[in-house]
Amino acid sequence: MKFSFHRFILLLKLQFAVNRRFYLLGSAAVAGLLFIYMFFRAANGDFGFEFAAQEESYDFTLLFSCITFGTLVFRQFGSRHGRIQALMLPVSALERLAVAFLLVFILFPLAITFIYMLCNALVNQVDIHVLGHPNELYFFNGEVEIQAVTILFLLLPVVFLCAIWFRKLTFVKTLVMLCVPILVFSFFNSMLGKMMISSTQPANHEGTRFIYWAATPLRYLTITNGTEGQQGGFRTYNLVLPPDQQWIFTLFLCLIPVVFIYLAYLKLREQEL
Amino acid sequence: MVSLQHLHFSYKKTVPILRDVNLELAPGRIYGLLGKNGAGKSSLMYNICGLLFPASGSCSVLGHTPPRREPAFLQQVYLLPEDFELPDMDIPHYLRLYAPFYPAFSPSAFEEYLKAFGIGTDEHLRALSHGQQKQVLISFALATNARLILMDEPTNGLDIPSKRQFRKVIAGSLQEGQCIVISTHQVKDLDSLIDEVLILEDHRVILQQPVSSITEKLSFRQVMSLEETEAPIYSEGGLKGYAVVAVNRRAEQSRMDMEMFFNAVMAEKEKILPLFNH
Repeated sequence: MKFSFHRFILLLKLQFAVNRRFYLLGSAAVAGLLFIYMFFRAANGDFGFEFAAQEESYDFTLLFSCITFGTLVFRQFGSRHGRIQALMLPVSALERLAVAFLLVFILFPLAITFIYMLCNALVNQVDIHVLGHPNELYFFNGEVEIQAVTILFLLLPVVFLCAIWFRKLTFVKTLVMLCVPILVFSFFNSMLGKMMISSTQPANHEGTRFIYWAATPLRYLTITNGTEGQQGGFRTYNLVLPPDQQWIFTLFLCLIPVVFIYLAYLKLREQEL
Repeated sequence: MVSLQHLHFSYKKTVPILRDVNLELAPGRIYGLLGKNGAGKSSLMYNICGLLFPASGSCSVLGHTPPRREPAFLQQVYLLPEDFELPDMDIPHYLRLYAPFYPAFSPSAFEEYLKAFGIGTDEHLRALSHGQQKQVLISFALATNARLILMDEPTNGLDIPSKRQFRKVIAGSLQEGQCIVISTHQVKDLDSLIDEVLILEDHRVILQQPVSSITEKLSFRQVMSLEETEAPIYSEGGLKGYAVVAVNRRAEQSRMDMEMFFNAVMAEKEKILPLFNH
């Protein structure tokens, strides 16, 4: 594994210079779409563009935009002459991976966040002063963003691998690749949970019926209960593993991105014309 | 400098492109790689520079294994592709971005080559014609001072004066430790430039000979009638009589006609190849 910081900087400069028009137009497109959506919500919502809506929209924008731009990070490999030029450039696969990593995992999310916050601040001012909706300005809210960023960082390694794996229709194929394992994994996980729980009931359930509901992969099972013959009044229980056992599953979860990034490195290194 | 031993390559297992290719290239020479369409010329070049990986056999270039594509190897090998797309920027910007990747790059040589082609140093790349863009790329390739320069159809798209200029620039730029391989169909363009001829046919290199050795064994003549000369190996009729390729029994000095030679080898393999294979 050869790595030179000098070549890394040169490659980063080259990436920006060659793609500057694409990045500028892409940013303008994101900002334009955000403005249309935000103004529509502010003008047509009963309470304007509310705090909760601003928060939800940020999470969606961050995920969708980062995945879109992420799939195009190796777009020079899409054409034969682009591939020749890219592969003949005197840089190692690790340097190429490092530049793509910096863009996809750090710079794209930061740029999207900046664009979103800028658009949101402007729309919020219009919402308050012109449309008369006194909505609080959203500027990060703690736990929700951590969850969004966690999901993003779990998805981006897959995007990363797909970006180098698929030469044509990268975006569409990546979306399919993201959906298929999520659906399969969720279905498999739910089936597994159901099989484990089966029709088992606690020893002293005293007329209360427990129903298996769902399971969050590698984190907890969700079970609801209700009294037999009674409508409504369900309670939800999350069955969590003891902390000394949970770390094994957490570690497994953390290893998934590492595996995908390593596969992307191998694919870059073994890339042929 | 370049050593290929029993190299096999195929895109699909059932369709071989290169079969048992053995090749040695030395520094200080310009090689002309000739072959019919689909003979595998580009594939051979891509195997040499690490863009394609051989199925079996060994390939060593400047002491490196090309498929590893180490930066130290890529700094010494430059491939000029047949098709290319230059970024949307001017020449000085292109130079600032790409030249630092090549430690031996010479900006003054680059300017000199551009001048020879008649291209301004501040031109915008997208404002140039395809042929002029190719000239910029040729100038860049030579200015990298890479030890191995591979050129795939470099004269395609060049006008007649540019082809002449190309020959002049290449001949003047070759350094002692440098080797240039030119793959082309337009063999006439490179007649006076090539030191050694490589012919690819039936998925392998069937001939590798210096021009001096070819003209020593074969004579190239223009005659009005075929009776004027002893039985030629190969002849082509034209308005001004016949161009013939014959065995050079009288040690005549003749100028090699690359196109005639290539056509002669393709048509009369059994007669020509034995002359060189002993």
